[in-house]
Amino acid sequence: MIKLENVTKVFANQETPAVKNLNLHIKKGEVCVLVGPSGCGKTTTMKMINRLVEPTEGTVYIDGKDTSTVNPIELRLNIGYVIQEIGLFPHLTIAENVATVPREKKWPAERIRQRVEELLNLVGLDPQVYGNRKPADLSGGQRQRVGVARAMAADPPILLMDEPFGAVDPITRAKLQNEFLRIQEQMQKTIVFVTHDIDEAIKMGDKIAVMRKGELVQYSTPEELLSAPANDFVAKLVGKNRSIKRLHLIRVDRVLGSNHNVPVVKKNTPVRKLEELVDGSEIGAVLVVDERDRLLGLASAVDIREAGGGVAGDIYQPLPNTIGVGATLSDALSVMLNYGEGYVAVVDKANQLTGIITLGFLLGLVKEDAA
Amino acid sequence: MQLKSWLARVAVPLGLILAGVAVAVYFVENPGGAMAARVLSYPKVIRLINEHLLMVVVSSSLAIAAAVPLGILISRPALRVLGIIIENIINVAQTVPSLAVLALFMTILGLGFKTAVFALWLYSLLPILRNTYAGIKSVPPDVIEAARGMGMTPLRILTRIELPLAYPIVMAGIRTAVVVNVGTATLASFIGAGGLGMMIISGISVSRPTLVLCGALLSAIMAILFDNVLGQVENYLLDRG
Repeated sequence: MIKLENVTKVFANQETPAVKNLNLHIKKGEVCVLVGPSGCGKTTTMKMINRLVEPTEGTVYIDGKDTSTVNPIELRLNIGYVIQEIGLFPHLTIAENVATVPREKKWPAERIRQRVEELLNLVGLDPQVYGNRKPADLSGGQRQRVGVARAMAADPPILLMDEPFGAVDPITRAKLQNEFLRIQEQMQKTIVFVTHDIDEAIKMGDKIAVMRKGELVQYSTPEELLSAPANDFVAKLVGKNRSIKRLHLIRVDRVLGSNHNVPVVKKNTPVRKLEELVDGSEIGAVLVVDERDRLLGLASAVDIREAGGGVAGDIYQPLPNTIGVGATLSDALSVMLNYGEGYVAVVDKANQLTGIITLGFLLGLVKEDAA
Repeated sequence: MQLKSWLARVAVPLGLILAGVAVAVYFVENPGGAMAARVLSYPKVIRLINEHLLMVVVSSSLAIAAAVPLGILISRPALRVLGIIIENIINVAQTVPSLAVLALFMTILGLGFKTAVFALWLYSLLPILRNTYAGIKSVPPDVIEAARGMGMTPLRILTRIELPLAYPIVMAGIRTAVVVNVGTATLASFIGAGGLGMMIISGISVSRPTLVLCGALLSAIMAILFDNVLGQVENYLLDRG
């Protein structure tokens, strides 16, 4: 979707380049977070995507098209932009602010009105209440919401966000981040997100690009960043307690896969077959699901031995220790501790079993970090 | 309600006009001596007021017409250096006394109304130009950057963002310029352009305080009247967006 190729930016009157020979490939629907200390070139990199800053060397491609051949106004109208301090127009109402890009695109008035209403609802601001207010009448958190709504007004496929949640208190920020993730889940935009806060980066990013002195130090998923920092700089940036951070920040659905050996059986599986399977189980039990993979419960080795015959559907016990796919690893750990069990089943909204997190797996993660 | 707000709007200007008429009538009826009475007649007072108004209106309008576009022009990023230079020239030029400006142009352009208008125009140019420039420069850079980032053209940024935000400051400059202009225009009588200054100058030369007082009061009332009316125009335009 967005591709930066050997991009270098040297500002006039400066000897050292702000961005040095940068290569970055951002896939469609991905949130790419540019993170690093101030002056590392992350904002400059972002601005080269919508040509607010022209690269000295190299090329930026969007959808395979060299952006330097596209009219910058045209380019920017199709890229949402949220900046530090949001930059709302103080003389215009909230509704007029949100309507900026649709107005530039000359949408009919009625369509603009509907879109503004839809967006304000989306970001949780009642259009009747806030539409006619001025930015100065809103709290910091509300202004940030308006900023996001304004950037999404014309439904651009790409959003550029420069510390969009920087100017609010930590509680509001966490709330805005969660809301934003929820919106992104629906919208599936390609997002370039700039922040200096590594925790925010890990929380928001599908991919994280760590930058330092204009160079890309590491470009990887949050998990990789935490488990395998490329060098001392990255390790320092993510901090000493990164094992705990991983647990707090990584969602269970990101690590699900073949990380366990707990057998899962359909409810019509004969008990005889279960006897073989349960021996290989990490938790001394098998999980039982119905014909549509919805979690029913578990059958322990004892249950299986006592049953002697029949099918799995007759002998399972309900399983209380489950968590949703959106939970973090620390939520998983907390459930395990609450139930005194070394595992937790992960289910989606329809109660379909999507995986299992075991204590052994969590320990393994922590151990990797310690090594 | 509508009537009430309308009344509130016209009350002050109307009161000022009445005060002006009262002042004129009082001094014409009580000139305080035959010498002063020669200047203080109704037709003469009306003529002087007219001349004064004409000078102020013509020079101020021309100044606005010239200074606002020029201020916008020198605030463009491409002319940044020029803007700084002009801003400094203005600041220095503003320190030249208005009487000196009139005298200077009298030597070049001769006596009369046109010279006075030209000098007043030049002198009003400065505050308007300075405020237009400063007003546009005072727009927060992040607001402009947000506008650019969202794909607004430079012209749209100017008309939709910069000018509306600079507007109160531009208007303040215009009001200052016009009020100063009313006062400065009294000096135009020295170069034979007429106006209320005539009363003051003759009053001084024949030592008749009534004449000085009448001219001074009338021009002061005129200044307040202009300021009030311009203030209302400002609010009206602000409400309309």
